[in-house]
Amino acid sequence: MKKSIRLALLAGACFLGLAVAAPALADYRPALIMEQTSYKLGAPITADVFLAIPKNDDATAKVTIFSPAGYDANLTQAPGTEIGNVTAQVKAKSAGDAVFTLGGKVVAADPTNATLQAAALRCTGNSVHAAIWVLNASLQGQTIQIPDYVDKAGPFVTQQVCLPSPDVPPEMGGAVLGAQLFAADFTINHVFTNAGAAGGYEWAALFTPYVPGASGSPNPGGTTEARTYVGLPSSLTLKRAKAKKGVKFTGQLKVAGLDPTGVRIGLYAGKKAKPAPSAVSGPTGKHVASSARLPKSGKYTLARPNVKFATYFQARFENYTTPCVGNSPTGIAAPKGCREERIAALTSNQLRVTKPKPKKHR
Amino acid sequence: MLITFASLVALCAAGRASAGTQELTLHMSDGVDLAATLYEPSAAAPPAGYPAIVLFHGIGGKRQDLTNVAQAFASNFAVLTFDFRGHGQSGGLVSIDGPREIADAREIYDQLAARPEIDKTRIGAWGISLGGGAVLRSLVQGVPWKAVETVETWTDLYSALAPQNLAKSGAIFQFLGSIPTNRLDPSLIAIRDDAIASRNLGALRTWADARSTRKLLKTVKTPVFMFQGRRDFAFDIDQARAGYALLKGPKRLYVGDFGHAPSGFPGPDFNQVMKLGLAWFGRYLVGTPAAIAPFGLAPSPWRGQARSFAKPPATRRLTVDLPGNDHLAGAGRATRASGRFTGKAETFGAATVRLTARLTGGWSRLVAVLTAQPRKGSEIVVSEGGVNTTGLKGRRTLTIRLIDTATLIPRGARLTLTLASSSVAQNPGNLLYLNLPMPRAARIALGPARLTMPILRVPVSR
Repeated sequence: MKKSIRLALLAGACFLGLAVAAPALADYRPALIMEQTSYKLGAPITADVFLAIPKNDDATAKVTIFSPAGYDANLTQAPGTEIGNVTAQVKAKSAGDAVFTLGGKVVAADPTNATLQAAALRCTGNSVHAAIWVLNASLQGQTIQIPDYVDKAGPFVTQQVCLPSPDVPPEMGGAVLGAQLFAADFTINHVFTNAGAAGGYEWAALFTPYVPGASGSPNPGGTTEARTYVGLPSSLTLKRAKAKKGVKFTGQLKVAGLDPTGVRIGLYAGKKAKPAPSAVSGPTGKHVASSARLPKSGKYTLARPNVKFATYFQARFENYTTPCVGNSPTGIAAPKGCREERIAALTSNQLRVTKPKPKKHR
Repeated sequence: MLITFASLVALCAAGRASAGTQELTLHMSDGVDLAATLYEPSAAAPPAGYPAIVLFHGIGGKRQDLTNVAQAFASNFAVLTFDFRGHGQSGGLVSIDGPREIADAREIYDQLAARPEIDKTRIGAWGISLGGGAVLRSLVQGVPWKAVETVETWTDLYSALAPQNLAKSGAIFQFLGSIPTNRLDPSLIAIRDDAIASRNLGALRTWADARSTRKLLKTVKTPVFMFQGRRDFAFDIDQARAGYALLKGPKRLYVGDFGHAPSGFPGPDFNQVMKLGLAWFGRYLVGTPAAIAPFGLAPSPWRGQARSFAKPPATRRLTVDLPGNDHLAGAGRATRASGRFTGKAETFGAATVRLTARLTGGWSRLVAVLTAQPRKGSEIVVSEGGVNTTGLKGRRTLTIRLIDTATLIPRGARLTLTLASSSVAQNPGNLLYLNLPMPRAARIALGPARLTMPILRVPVSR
């Protein structure tokens, strides 16, 4: 738990920005972007894990994700239980570096399965794990299965994922199609429960790249840390306010341990419900406006013209980061240090606004 | 006598798998062995021997894929199925209907003709996709097939795989990916990456021309029946229609409810395809009279009967203006939507998209995907196509020719045209034109678009 007050900065690279970043030899700039369905104390949550590495950076060999100390976790899902969804983007070297988007389910596997245990031994050095989740990423009937080895380690739950090298032929243990994963977004339902004490918490991940080239050797010296800050409790509200003209909204951002001064809140709108993205779904609408910079109170106001048809609105706090503060919560010092610390995004409640009735003239 | 003896050695039977079939190993002149299965009718062979058909399977396939086709023909004919070299249980490497595979076709013909129970004057060939290409190529190169049938194949491979000089990268990738790398001929590996990336197109054209027949079909007098899919994004209707127009001998064209993606084979009209196929071989291998319309078009969904025409059915042009202005970079996309269709329309022919564009920074390609969203039900990809814009800059008028399909656009549907650098922008599962790298500085500004679609004057589907 952290007590320091952080200042949020606009993240330099959102998902799309990372995905189209310029080529850079021997660069390795991974990001861990976590989002939760709830930021209430002691609440069960769905955790959305988003790993992003610019696609022209070195390939990733291993990722170890640490849950915040103080979170509770239930790792007793029966084999076959669906615990979430996964979307992954890979760059396929054998297809001219074409980008493929794959999607599927995250399924709890049998941790006593001999094949999975053998794979676990190669990845983590240990064949026995409390749980093994398999990320099944499919495209047109072809599935890439990525095991996620899960353990309780002290105050954390750790997830370890190893990825095959895109530079090594598949028959020698390399990635099918020469696929290099550069973005993975997966949800974990009914596993984590928020801490019961108010304060700042951190998700953290250690990313280890491959040595560029055909060796297929991991580069432990290139291991980099990335974190996501979660304030408990946190909230973002959206209310309709009276307006002489158009539509007016007010609301407030509260993130424990975060000074919201200077933050901007985004407004999403669309014909369908839930126009803004959230931890468990993509946007159904579009980003239509941003607030002015917030004062310390976190209160904001947003105005829009009258709508021409029934429209849903949602506010969202996203794409902010802070410098990494203090030592790694994992207790492990990454050779390349901590790159950045994201602040977990929040989505407000939604409001439905209808077309105003024409005034009656007498 | 020497040939007969050699053939008997070559066609060494590995034992009968079941009544009427024999597993064979065919020895090719370069030392490669091809695995084959010979089906023979249960009735005794006529004095001149059985009329016979050789079946050629598709890429990445094997002879067992054609068991249902073989069985359908085997009641009347001896049928030989075999694994192409580099496929199934055969040896050798795949060069996709290259000179070696065509030599195989000739040697297979010779070895089958040398069998005593086969009538060597009455041997036909049936091929699907890769196999259809081999049948046509071997025909124009002098293999004396008595009659042939081709299914969902090409007559001009370059225009099929790289129309308007933009490779259907996803189709090429999937075709080549269906064969293990260690079974690909080095000549194929040499052009693979360039073919996917639409680079070095001169070499790709030379390679494809050596596997095409379009320019040579005008010399063909052998009876040819072409079966082509209504919705086949690899080898479209035009591949058959253009070849069909050139043939000089007896010919038929049936456009049915099957094909490469987004269709499949066999399709719901498989029985009709086999009925027509049997009648064709019956007429030209055996002499059994059969009345087959010159042109057939199956409705989709299939309703048990195809429409027959004396010539390809009449169409009219439907023009749809799709206004808008968009600026794209990288994997961005523009979408243009039409109003709702007041009636139904059935495309038949290649639609075109014409628009103005301003290109900067090395924008190298533009892909158009035309979809129809019915009031109820899921989205239909009507057609798609792309144009290579490498080397173009500044303001240009671009014309994108879409794949020639027969697609029903239901009443009340709304058309959407997606413009992007790949078909993946329309849907992550639409892999015809892959999301390949684009220069970081590349930009394209798109102006209003005009869509022109040939549609049937009288739809056959409902």
